[in-house]
Amino acid sequence: MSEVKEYTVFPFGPQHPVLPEPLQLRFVVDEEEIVDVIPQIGYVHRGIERACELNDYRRNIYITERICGICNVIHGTTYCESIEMITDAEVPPRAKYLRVIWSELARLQSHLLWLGLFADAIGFESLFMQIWRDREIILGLHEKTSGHRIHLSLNTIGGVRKDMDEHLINEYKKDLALVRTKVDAIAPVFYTDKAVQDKTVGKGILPKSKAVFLGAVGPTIRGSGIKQDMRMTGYEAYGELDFEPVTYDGEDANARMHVRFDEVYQSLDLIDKAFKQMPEGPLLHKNTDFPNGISINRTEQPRGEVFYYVEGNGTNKLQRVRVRTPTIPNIPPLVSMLIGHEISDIPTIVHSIDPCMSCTERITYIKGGE
Amino acid sequence: MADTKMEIASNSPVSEFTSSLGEMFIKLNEFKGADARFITITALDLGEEIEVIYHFEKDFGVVGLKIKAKKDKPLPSITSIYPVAFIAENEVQDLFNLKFSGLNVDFGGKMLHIEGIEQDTLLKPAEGPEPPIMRFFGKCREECPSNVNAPKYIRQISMGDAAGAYDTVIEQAPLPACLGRVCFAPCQEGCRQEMNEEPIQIRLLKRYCSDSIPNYKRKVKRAKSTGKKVAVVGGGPSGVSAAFYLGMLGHEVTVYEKTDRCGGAMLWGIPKYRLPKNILGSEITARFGEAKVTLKEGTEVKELKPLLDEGFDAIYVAIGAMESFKLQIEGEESEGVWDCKDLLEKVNVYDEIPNLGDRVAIVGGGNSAIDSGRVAKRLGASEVVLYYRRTEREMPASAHEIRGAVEEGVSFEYLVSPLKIIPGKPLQLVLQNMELGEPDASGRRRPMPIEGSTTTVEVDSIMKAIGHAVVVPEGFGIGLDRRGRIVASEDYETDVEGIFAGGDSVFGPKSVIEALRDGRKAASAINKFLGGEGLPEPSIDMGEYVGRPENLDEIKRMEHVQVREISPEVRAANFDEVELGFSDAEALRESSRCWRCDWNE
Repeated sequence: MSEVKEYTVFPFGPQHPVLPEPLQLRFVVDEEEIVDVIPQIGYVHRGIERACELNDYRRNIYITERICGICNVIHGTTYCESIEMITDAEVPPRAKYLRVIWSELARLQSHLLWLGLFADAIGFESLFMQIWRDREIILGLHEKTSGHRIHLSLNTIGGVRKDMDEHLINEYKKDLALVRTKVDAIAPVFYTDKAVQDKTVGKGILPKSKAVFLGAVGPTIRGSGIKQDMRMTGYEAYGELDFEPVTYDGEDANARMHVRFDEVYQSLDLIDKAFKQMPEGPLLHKNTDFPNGISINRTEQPRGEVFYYVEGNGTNKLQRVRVRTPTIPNIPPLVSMLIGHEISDIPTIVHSIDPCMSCTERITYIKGGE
Repeated sequence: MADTKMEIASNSPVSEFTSSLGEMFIKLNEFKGADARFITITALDLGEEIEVIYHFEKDFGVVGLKIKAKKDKPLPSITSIYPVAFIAENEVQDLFNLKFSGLNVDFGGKMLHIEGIEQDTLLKPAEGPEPPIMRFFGKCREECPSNVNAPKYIRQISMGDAAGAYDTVIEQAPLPACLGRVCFAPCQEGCRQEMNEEPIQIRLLKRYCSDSIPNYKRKVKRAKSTGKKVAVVGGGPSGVSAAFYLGMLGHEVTVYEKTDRCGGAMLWGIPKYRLPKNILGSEITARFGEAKVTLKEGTEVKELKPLLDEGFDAIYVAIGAMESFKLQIEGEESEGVWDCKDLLEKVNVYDEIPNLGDRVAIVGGGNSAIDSGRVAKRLGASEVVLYYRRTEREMPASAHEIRGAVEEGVSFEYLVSPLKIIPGKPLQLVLQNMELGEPDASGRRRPMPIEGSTTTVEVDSIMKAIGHAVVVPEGFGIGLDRRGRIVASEDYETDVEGIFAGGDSVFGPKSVIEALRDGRKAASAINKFLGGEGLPEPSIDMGEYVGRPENLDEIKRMEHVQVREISPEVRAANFDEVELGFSDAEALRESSRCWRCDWNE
C-alpha cells in the first residue's frame, strides 16, 4: 500500500509584507516544495463595469482611469479610443502623440515602481529605495504636466485636454535624460549582482510552448520569447514610431526582469522620438453624436494587454463596458510557474508577473440593492 | 458556419462567429489547434437570454465566438479545452447567475464572495461530463448509402416533430414513405443500441414520420427558375430522385417513362404487401409537384440525340436493369416456366391473378426470388419450394425477408442447381446436387456440382429469379461495358457530353436507397454541369444541440418495440400490407432509445 502523503496548506496574502496586492494564494506544500496553488481573488471588487453602464459616457473616463492607479493614463486612452471608434470624433495627430508620450511616461514609472518592488521581494532594500527615488523624477513630470502626481486625467473623447509648450517639453527632455543616467547607474546591479541572479535565474519557468496556451500577456509572455505587444498594432501614434517589442528567451523571472528593464530604455527612446516627430496642430476634435455600436479595443499596459469591449446604443449611457486587465490572464501562468519551486522563491516569482489586483477586480454583484 | 459581418470598430482585425452550442466546441478545438490565445468572456444580458462572447486572439486579430444561452440552462464550460478560461467563466457565473457545467475550478457563484468556498485544485482536467470534442455522422448514417441524417430525424421524432423528420430524410433521399417500407436498412446494422442486440428500428421510424404527413405533401420553396431544361429517361427510383432534386434546384425537368406509371423496379419488383402501390404513386406525385416536374408516361425514348436537339441542356439516363437472365438450360421455353419479373409485374402492377398451380418451384436466392415465393403463396400455391445453389449463409436476400417467407410457409432447398426442364403436365425439374468449394471473386464459396448426383421434382410451374441484366437501346449511342451496362464516371458522366447516367443501368441491380443516392448525386453533377453549385454534401447539422442524455444506462437497456404485423395465416391469403407500422406512442418510445452516439464526449 502506498503511503498517504500529508500536505500542508498555507495562505499567502491577501495581506502580506512582500505582496502589495490583495491577492490570496493558498500554497499546498510538501515540506518546502510547492505542490499546488489555489488563487483566491475577490477582495477588492468595486463595481466599475456596472458603474460605467449607469453613468454618462463622458464621465466614464474618470471612472475607467480609476480602474488602476498606475495605468490610469492608458485606461483613459483606451476608453476614449473605444468611444472614438463608435462616434464621429477624430483625434488630431498632435493629441495622438501626446497620448503616446504620457502612456510611455506611465509605463516608465510603472516599470521603475515594479523594479523597486522586485528588488524588495529579493530582499535588496537599498536598491528598492534607489529606484523609487529615481521614480520621483517622473512623478514630478506628472505634476508639472497636470498638477497631479499620479492621475494625469488629460484624456478626453476626441483628443487631450492640455498641450505641452516649449518650456514643458524642455523640462521633459532634461528630466528624462536625468532618469536615463540614473537607470544606467542601477542597470549593472540588475544585470550582474549575484543576489539578484541567484534569486531570479531559473525561477518561475514559463516555457514558450505553454505561454500562449496559458494566455500570458505583456512582459510575462515576452520573457518567454514571444513577440506579443499590442503596441505592434500601431494604435495612436505607435504606428509611426517604428516600434519593435523587447523579447528575451530566458523563460524565467530573470528574463521577465530584463524585458522590463529594457522597456524602460525603450520608453525613454519612444518619448524622445515622439517629441521629434510630434506635429503642431489642434488638440481636440469633439464628437457630435452619442456612441452607437460595438468596439473592441486592445492596448498595451505596463503589465500587458488590456481589453475593452464597449457597446453603445445611441444614448448617453453605454449598454455594456467590459474590461479585462492584464493580471487576470497572468494568474494561470503564475500558478504553473510556482509549482515545483520552494517557498522562499514565492515572492520573486509572484512579483515577476507584476500582479495588480485592484485593476483585475472591478465588478461587484449588487443583488436587489443589497 | 455563419460568419456574421457585424460592424465592430476595433484597432485590430475582428472576426466574429455566431455559433450554436453544437458547433461551439468544434470551433474551440480549431482555435486551440491554431494556437489562439484566450482573452476573455464578455456576457451581455438580453433579458430572456444571455449573450456570451468568447474572445480569442489569433495573429493580432480578435476572434469572437458568440453564443446565446438560456438563463436557466447551464452552459457547458470550455475549461476542458481552455483551462485558463475558469476565471472569466466564474466571473460570468457570479455576475449573471449563468451556470457553467463542468468547470475545472468552480467557485459556485462565490468567486467574489469569500466566505465558505469549497474549491478544487487548479489547471486539472474538468470533472463530470466533459463537453463534446467531436461530432460524428453516427454509425447509422455512415452505413446508409445515401447518408440520410438518421440521428437527426430519430431525435426529431423523439421530440414529436414528425414533419421535420420527414424533411430531414428528403434532404438526402426523396421517398421516405417507400424507404420506410422497402429499404434493407443498413442503418440498423450500424446502430449502436447494442445492449439487447436489438437495433433501433430506423426504417419503421422513417415510415412512421412519413405516414403522419397527409398525402406526403409538404410546403417547400423551389429555387428560382434557372431556365435550363433537363430530360430524365426512366421513372424508377434513380430517375425520380434526380428529377426531384434537379427540379428543386430550379431546372425545368421532364421525365420520360416507358410504362404508364412511374416507380420502375419499386413498382413491379416489390410486392404490394410490402409497398402498397398507392403510397408509391402519391409520394412520387407529391415530389414531382414540389419540384414542378413534367411527367411523360408511356413515352419510350429510343434515341437521345433528338432530345438534345429539342433543347434539353442535359439528359439523365436511368433505365434500370429490366431483362431477366436466362437459365440457359434445356426446356427453358416450356409452358409453365415463368420469368419472375413477368409474374411480379402482372400481380403488382396490373392486379392480375395468374394461375400457377399447386406446386411452385423458384430458382434463385435473391430478394426477387423470395418475393416470387411469397407472391406464389398468396396466389394459392400450397407447396412453394425455393431452390438455391449455395447455402442460406450465401443467400443475397435479406434475413428479414427470408424470415417472412419461412413464416408464410415457403420452404427452401439449398445446394441444388437446375439441370434441365422436361416439359409436360406436370413439369419435371431435374436438379444437380452441389457442394461448396473455394471462395470466388465475390468472396462467397463457389458451388461445385457433385458428379452424377441429381434429383428430379415434379412441379406445376417454375419461376426464374436469377437476376436482371441491363439492356440499353442501340439508338442511345453511349459507351457500354462488356456486360451491356452504361459506362459512367464518378460524376455520373457518360462519354457523351451532357448525358449522365446512374442507377441500376450503370451499376447493375442494386437497392432502392442506392438508386436514390445515384439520382441525388447525378442531380448535383448535372447542376454543376449547368453552371450551378451542386447540392450540398451530406454534412453534420451543427445547429442542432445534442447533449448526451443523462439516464444513459437506462436508455441502453430499453427493449425495442415489436412492430405489429398481420398474422402469417391471414396475410398469406391476401396482398394487404404485412407490417402495420408504429403508433405515436410506439414511435416515441422507439426513437427515445437512441443514446446519441454521434456526439462524442
